[in-house]
Amino acid sequence: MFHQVEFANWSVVVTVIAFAVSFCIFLTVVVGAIRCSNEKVRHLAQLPLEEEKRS
Amino acid sequence: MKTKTIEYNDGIVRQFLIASVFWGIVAMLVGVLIASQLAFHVLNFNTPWLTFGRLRPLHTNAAIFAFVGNMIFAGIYHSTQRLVRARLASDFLSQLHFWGWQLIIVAAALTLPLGFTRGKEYAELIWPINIAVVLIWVVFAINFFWTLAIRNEKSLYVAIWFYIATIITVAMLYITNHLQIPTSLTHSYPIFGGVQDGLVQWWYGHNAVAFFLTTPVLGIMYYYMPKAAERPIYSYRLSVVHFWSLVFIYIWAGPHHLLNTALPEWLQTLGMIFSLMLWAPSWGGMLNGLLTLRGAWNKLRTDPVLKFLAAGVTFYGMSTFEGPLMAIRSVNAVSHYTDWTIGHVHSGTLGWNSFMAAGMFYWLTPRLWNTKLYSTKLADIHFWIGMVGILLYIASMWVSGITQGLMLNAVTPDGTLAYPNFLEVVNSVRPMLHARILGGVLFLSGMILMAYNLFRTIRSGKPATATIEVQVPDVPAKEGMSLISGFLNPPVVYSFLLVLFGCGWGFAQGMVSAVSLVLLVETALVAMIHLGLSGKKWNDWYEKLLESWLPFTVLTFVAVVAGGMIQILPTVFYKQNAGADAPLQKVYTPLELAGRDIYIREGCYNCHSQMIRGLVGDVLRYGKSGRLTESIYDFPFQWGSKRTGPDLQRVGGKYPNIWHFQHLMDPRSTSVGSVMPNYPWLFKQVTDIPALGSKIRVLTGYGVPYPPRSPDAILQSCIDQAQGITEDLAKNGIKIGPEKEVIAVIAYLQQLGKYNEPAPAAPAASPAPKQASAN
Repeated sequence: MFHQVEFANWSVVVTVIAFAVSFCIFLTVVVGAIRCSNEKVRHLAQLPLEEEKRS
Repeated sequence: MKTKTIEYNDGIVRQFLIASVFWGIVAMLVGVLIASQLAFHVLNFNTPWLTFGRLRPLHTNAAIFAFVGNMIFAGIYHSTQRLVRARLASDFLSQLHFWGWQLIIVAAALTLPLGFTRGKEYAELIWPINIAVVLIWVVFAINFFWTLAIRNEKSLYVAIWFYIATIITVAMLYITNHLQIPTSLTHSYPIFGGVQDGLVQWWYGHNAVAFFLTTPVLGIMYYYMPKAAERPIYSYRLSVVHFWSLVFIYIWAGPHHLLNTALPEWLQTLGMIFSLMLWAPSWGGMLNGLLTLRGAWNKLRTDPVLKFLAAGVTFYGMSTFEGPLMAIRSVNAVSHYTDWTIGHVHSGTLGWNSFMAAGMFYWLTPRLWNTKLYSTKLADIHFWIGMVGILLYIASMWVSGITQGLMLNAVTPDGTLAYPNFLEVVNSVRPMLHARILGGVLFLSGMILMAYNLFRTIRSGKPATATIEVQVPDVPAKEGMSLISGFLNPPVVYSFLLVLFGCGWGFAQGMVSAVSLVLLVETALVAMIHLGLSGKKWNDWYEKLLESWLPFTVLTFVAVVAGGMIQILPTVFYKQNAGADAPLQKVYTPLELAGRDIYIREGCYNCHSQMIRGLVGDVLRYGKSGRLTESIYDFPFQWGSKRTGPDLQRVGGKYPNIWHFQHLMDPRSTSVGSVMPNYPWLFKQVTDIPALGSKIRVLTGYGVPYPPRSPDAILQSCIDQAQGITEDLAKNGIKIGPEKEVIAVIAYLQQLGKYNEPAPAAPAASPAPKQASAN
């Protein structure tokens, strides 16, 4: 319907590389998080619940 | 090991809390005023600094940076100290951060109504203030990361991750979108123009919502929700997936703000797909927050803190469902440029941000002043007033927005517009505009009640000193992982190799592609065997990463940069790829440029778009759909995001000069029922011609093909063009001097939509800007 500027193929290349890089980071850390030890997870989940003294 | 007593710095938390409540009321007061102006134009008072176009940026900036900004700083400073069991690293930096930020807000509150603006939404502040923002953000970052470096708790809770992502991503977005060259102490042009500026702006604009209004507040949710419910978060693992999914996906979704425009199809599709992908993590996060209340639902009846937090998280779910929905191209065709968008952003800022803020303030204030909340009943009333206010607001905007979208796109069976007069649409939604005012007033009343309740609470107590005892090793422990070892680990190395070989397979050809495929499969197999043999060791890497803020920060930075680059880089080079048959924008004459800067000063872009979408309704109403090359000299771009008035991309030549003259003096004289303000000062003030020299110099540096001109030549060019307009006006009995601002604005408006058509059989294309004629 309307004219659009043509892009060189490298814009597609950059898109895919960018996607692959960030997806790899995502996948690596999510797998790590899921396999994280129960002990560690319990410790982390309790962190906000620590009490403090107020005066 | 030895025992050490840590005294938290809660003074700074108290300061930010009070500032947030104060600025929240100011922001919402201005919001109610501008909502009223859209229903009753007389409330613009014919006064420049009280006009909608100047006050709307004040409202948005105050709500985002003053209200939510101060709120997140209070929450971050309070929760971080507890989560890492350490006092803030520097009292001096904390105070510098607080007072610097308040000074920035005051500067914004003074400059925006005076018309000093960059003309970009949520990025209007002028360049000296931009520099101050960056400096104060750096102060905040140093204070925060320094505190992490001296912490007494090894592991980093997920809220800290959200704060880290906020600090580095906001810095990246803010700096990129504010790259500019000053033309004077109060004016500058962004280095990006046209579509480049559009993409950078909405990459910033969208992610300002993501990383300023969402990620820090999610961190706050992950700390205060368990605190208030007195139980740990429902699923810590889900919170980790939530974090990484958001960081991975959010940054890509910016182009959904430019759907159906001249933006390349692939970018629109990219923005739409990533927006839809956001459904999963957003709802995962919402459910994680709400399910934290399992077994404690009964507390919702009595505890106002939990009421606000639970409602806030529910609004997070609702608005993050609505956002991706609106990013579907066909839905966007109806919703974009309408009040539906306004309703959507307010369900986020009022429902999510403000309710989370209220929940946090009601929880924090009694503890920070070592007392009890003055009145639970008042807090309950605040909740219900606020809830009714939000629902009234967003429901009226939904009705108004969908009505506008359907009416503006409606076509009769014979192919003409069903509602050709734009004002029919404006007037059909008036009752909804009144309902919005009522909703806003209710919400503001709730905020004032909260301020009173907190004030009485503070009066009844004294600033508390909070301490905690920690076990400190005799020799300070080292970071869990160095920056280098954060990356030279099997999971990272395998991931890198898989990406490398995957790209080789996908992009190379022939033998290289085949070899890459083989290596890809082999690497995957080796990685799986390696994982099977030493799975636990692999997890050591991850668990160390949880204790190492620097590699973690770099990893997050890489993830957001990768997503950001793709939106920016290809368009930076688009001019070189422009087709030879593209119509090119005409270069603005000096007078038109002056008129354009006045148009930006008055904030006309808040109500008028300059981008005709490739939709039937748009094309029939406004003319040919917009093309990228028609705005290449627009620094900043003015595509807009809302049509309270009609699109202006091709308004040039549509009406005679006398029409514009009368319309700017009193819009009702030409357009019965218009809600546009009068602009009487344009008929008194004199166009700033001397400033044009440095403006043209900067634009020439950007590649706009202005011929070299002396200041006298610029003046003469302005006089010649202005006299042409005044002589035309004189034929209609209007006498006005050519030096008045209104003449420059008319010159600009009459130029809109004029471009140089390409020669029918042009030979090989030369670089785009050089083909344009210099006026």
